Amino acid sequence: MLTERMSRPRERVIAGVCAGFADHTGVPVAAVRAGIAALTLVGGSGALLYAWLWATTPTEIAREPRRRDLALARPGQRAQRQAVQHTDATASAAQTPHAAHAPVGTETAASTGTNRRRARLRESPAGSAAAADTETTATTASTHDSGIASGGWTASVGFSAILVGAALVVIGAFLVAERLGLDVPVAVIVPLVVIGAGVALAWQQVSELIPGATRPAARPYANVVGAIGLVITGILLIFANSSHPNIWTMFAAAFAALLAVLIALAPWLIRLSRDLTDERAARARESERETIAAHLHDSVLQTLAVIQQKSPAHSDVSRIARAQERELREWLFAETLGDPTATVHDIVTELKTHAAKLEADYPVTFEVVSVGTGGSGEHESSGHLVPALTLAAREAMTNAAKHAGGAVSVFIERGPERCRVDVIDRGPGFALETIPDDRHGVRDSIIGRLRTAGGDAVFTAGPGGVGTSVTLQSRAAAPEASAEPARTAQQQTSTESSTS
Amino acid sequence: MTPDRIHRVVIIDDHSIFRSGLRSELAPDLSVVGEAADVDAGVTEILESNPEVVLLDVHLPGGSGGGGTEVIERVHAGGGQPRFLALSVSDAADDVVSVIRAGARGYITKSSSGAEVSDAVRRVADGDAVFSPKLAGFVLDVFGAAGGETAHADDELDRLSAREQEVMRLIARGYSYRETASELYISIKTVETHVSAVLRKLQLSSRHELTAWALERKLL
Repeated sequence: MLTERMSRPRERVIAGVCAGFADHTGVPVAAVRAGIAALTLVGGSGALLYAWLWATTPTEIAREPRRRDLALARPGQRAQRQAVQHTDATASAAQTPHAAHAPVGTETAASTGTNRRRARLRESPAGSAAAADTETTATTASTHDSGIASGGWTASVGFSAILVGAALVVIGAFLVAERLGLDVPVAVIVPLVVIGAGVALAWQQVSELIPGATRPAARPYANVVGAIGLVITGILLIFANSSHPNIWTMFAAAFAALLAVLIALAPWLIRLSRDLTDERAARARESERETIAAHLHDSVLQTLAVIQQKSPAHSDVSRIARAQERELREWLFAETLGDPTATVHDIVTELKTHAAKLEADYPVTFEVVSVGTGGSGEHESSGHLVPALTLAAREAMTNAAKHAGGAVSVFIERGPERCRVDVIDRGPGFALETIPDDRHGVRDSIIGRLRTAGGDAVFTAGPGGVGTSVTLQSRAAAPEASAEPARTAQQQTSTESSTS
Repeated sequence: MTPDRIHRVVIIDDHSIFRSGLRSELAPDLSVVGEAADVDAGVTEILESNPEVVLLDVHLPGGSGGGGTEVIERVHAGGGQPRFLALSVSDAADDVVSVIRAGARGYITKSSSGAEVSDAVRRVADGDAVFSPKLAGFVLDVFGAAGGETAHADDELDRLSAREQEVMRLIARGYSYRETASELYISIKTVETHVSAVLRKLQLSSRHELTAWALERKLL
């Protein structure tokens, strides 16, 4: 396979140069190795070439971590993404969890879970065009943020690598010339090479100044100090070697050294001033945004509150005002907290979003309260317990919005071992037995789903015997199958009909 | 819950529309004796008219920028003894807890109906605390109730007793005091006692999480 850009593989004998070269050109590895060995025997140029390629060729980019990130995306997004990715895969269309199916609740958590796992397995061979596409994105992304290994090199390789290569070639040429008996003026060559290396090191930073090449300098101080050191050493070598030192050569040496320092420092100084400007601009933007946020908070939010208060409860006007208020508050809140890490608050954000959606469609107001952080959120990723709970809670909320309306409370409590959601409405209430067998909402999407996932759902009358209270629980740490019959029995007994 | 008594109320909010709206919505047994639009005017107004209950916006202009918290502190420093009920458009615990810590007896959102506000004012006037579900949720959070911590003695400030946790759980779930009482087979008065005890703990506790949490948000 011919690679577009030469890179050294992670599995390597010495530095992976030969293997990388072979991959890149299509020449067999053995032939490349033999060639290098032969060249090494002839005056050592093979070793030089090897060293040069070693220094200038980046290591192959690791792709695995990025892929895992994708798999850990939020359940909803994940399902969507997979739906997109596997439209061309065989036998996936019927099983892929479509967003449209979820509210109807025809599928159980088990099938969702296995589908997801199956989908992820199918993803691994990376054969489909969609998967390849994802990979490209991942590669581009990691090119941006991994330092010297990838992005930085491709940006600076054009300049510094050529210098380094040229220097090595020159050295090689002199070695050959010396063997042939020519008189090489080493006293002149060595300082020149040293100066060249210093300048190359200093101006390597120039490439970072080009907009778009945003490589954070790995060791900026080491770079600058090294560059200055090399340049000064080179200059001093030139003048110290001159046979007749006088005041003028010393003066010239000092001046040259000073100039060299300035040249070496220039990129660094330019970057410093640019950073300063950028930072100042960012701060100005930030303070402007804060002013706007404060203004919105003081004026628009208050007005929306008044509108809600003055308009009849659950009218269109109050619904719109509430939706607007929620949106605005989310924006303001996210702005001040600046915490978009939604993975830990997964179930909470999911249910809040769902509540907002339902409020727009039905005459209902949700109050979502969450307690606890659920540990470090590891049980969110550990299986389908919390996703099942989330889906069941969404179903319960939809039912409450459709059949009860009014004020509905959603209470999410997450402890280290368990996660529990209560959905409480003050509607007419309902009896589970009276629901016809062909209606799947409650039986399958709530009770069935949770039972499969190892939790339970309890339907009782709401506060004061009015309305419905749905309690959904999952035990993240509990083994799934063993406690099953007991829980089912409990659910049967505590499922009582509620009257209004 | 004594509608036969007239309560004197002062409204402090920087939006005249909101003030007049609230004024017209309040029950007839609540008489609004004064209004103010910022911190300085509010403090003066409260000290002059000496109301029973102050409806106080959390976000207020003026003063040294402390908003509702500053009003409470300055009124207390000036010798006034009214009870404060905090009003806010935001549900953010940050906003609410600073006024509660400063001494407010309760908190409701501005989108509450006139009847709800009137009810809350009467409660506060009678010396009880007013908890919204959000605030109850926060209390459970900060006292580690989700992790199963329970106080063994009633006067332990850093934890909630088992009964207090139950009450807070129900309130966080959206139950009213009456519903909470019937659910737990206790009287409303007992619920009010529990809620007041929780409020006291919230105000006085130096619990590590609460302090760290408040420090992080520059509330202390």
